[in-house]
Amino acid sequence: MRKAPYGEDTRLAKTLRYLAIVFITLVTMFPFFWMISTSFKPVKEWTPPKPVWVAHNPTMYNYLTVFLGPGRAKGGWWASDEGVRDVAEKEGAKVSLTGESSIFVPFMTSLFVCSCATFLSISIGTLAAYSISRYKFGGNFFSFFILSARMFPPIAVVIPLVVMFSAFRLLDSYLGVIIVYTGFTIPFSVWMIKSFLDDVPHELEEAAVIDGMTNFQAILKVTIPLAKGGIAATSLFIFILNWSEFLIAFLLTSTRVMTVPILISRYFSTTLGHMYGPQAALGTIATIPVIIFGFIIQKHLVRGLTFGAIKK
Amino acid sequence: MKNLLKKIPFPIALIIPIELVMMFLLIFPLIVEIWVSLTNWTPLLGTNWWHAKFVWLKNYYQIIFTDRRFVMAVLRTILIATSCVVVELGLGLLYGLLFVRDFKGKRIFVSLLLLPMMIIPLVAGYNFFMLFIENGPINQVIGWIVGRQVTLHWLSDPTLGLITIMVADIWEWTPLMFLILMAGLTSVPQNQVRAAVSLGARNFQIFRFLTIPLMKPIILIAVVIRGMELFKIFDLVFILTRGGPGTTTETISFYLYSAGFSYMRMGYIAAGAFIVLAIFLTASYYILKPVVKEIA
Repeated sequence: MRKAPYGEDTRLAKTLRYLAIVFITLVTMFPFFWMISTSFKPVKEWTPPKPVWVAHNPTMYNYLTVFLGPGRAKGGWWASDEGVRDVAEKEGAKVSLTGESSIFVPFMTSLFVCSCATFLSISIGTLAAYSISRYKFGGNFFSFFILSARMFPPIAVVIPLVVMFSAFRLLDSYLGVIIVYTGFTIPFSVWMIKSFLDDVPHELEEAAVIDGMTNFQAILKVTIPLAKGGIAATSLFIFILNWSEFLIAFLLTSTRVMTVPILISRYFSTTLGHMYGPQAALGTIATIPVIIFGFIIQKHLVRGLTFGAIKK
Repeated sequence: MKNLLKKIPFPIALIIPIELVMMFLLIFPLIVEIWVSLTNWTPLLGTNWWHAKFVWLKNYYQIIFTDRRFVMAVLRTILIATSCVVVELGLGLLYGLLFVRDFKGKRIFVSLLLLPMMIIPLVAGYNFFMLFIENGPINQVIGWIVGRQVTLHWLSDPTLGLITIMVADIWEWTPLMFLILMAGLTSVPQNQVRAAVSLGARNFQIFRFLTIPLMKPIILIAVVIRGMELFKIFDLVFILTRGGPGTTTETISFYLYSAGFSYMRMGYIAAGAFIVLAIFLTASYYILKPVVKEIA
């Protein structure tokens, strides 16, 4: 066989590579396929002795359960005709899934909490990023200080936070969750925005200041508009982080504030046995917004997750 | 007041909000944590933490020298983190090499391969729970390969449970490694490659002596960031095994959660959390250096 010069592949190499890529893509997509397929399965096909790959009798009941809340969607996938709530009470379940566990409230809660936290994180982060980008504020120590906030397990800080928040009456409140989410995403927003601000020439701000703007006005009216694409990408990125966050919400909230991941965990911890169908349906619905946002900022994902260290 | 504000230099004024947030969420909790860790406080007593009795270093002594569960959780986390980072790096490099050249449909394949890292970690845990249950598709596929029925108890076996957690993490985060390494692979300057080719270098030699050395900083960053996230692993453990059977698949985060919030011995757990925090902060100072150098 003729050896191909560098920069060119033989036919065989091309085919093999194609096969390999198709194979890894199929393996990667399989969990998604299984989740979506399960979300359409009726109760008998969830865990039969021989796994069902594609639902024989597809049903929308799982989605109905998620939208209406298991307590209201009566007479469906469970064996008896009682609502889940009655069964749960009989079994002495701590977590009762009632009408209020429909996805709407957690969805709106998540939307509200994540948007507020993202906005705060971006605003505070932009100011700090500007200071670091233009004045090299604080040198390496400050960089390290901010990065370290992302370094240790959140649980190690959440324990004293629970203690503090109970004193400030911030437990199980929107404000509490928003503050913590803001703090935990700040390292990302600072470094990602800084990497975008570095691309904006500082001469423009200097010109604006000479023309009579204050420093702060120059940031608002010159720098931010020039970096707005980057800041928008950072916002979506931070939003995804917040939307997926589970541990902090789990420990700092109990009944009043329920985000989407908490709802997911409730579906999972019910004593009724695993409700695979509704779980899969809920997982599918909860994943859709993040996947859409992820696609929009695909170009910037690496930049975000490496704190702007890799710009491509 | 206005005059006072004007006296603050502009770069420092910009930093004030972030300092306040960090103060409230980092410095303050740290002080509370140290305080509580020196006491025997538990919320079950009904007193406030600042009234609790000091036991000084007893908690630290107990957790390091007598708590086998804590030490095992630390070792287990190190095991999970290193194996996952190694596998993810290897797979990421492999994927990256497959995608160096342009071909038809490259963008679609890249987008599809990136999907796992956008998913909510809890949902990823979910998916793998469904896949790895006794009569789930994974056992079925293994059965096809082996040629007979297999029933591996993936989620209720200490070793298999750990493997399940690792597989789920590898599935979710190999795409990140892939993205980072692909950025590195495609940024190797082409004229250096051409020079090497004209000097008679083979493909493997180019990879070994040109690409890898050039990509070293990028690989280092990828490893640091992945390793750092892996040490915090919680969500997957929470969904897949709940640390069980017994305490055999607990990680640091999961141990602190389950010991802290089921026994409510806050002083004891604060000591554990502080030890973890101290280790992480010292380690991170050295580990993060390459990252800080790159971004600052």
